[in-house]
Amino acid sequence: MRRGIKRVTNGKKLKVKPSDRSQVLLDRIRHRREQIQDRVGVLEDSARLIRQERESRF
Amino acid sequence: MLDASVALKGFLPEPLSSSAERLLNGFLKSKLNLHAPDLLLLETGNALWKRSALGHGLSSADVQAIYRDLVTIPLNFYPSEQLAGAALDLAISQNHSVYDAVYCALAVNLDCELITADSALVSKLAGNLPFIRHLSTFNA
Repeated sequence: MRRGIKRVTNGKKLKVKPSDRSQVLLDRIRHRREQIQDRVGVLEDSARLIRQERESRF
Repeated sequence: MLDASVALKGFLPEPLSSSAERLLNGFLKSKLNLHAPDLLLLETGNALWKRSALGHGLSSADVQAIYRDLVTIPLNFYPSEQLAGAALDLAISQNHSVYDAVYCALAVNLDCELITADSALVSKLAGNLPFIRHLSTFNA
């Protein structure tokens, strides 16, 4: 499907609004995050991982 | 603007994920602007790789899917090469690494807040650089 085109209804192509695309993206991100949480629980803080990495370069 | 720690929290189940999601939501619904140096792309990619390599319960497919969505978000990115000089000046004046200073230099440049989830950064620099704000204080 071409980007920006939602579906064909009665021969008419309906454009996907940017707000729809954003909502789809947000829903996908939330869904994946919840799936990961169900599988492995709450993860260690990313801030700590990134801090360790920044300091290890020192 | 945001740093890599905040960006990742929107995608992963961890402390303050809901705050990061609100920030992302506000941006994608055009309620606020988000800026970042391109360094964010490397730091988030590296942290995701590390999580999969260290066996934190995330597969390589998980982290690749997360990264694909992360780079889809139309953040306003700025090239580090344009920030490096100012970042070095800040690093020297604050006695702090250039990596953090790149984010700070961009915040100075844009005259905006830097939202981070890095408590160590806030503790060390927010006194002198009051535009640095912890994600926990963000309520959109």
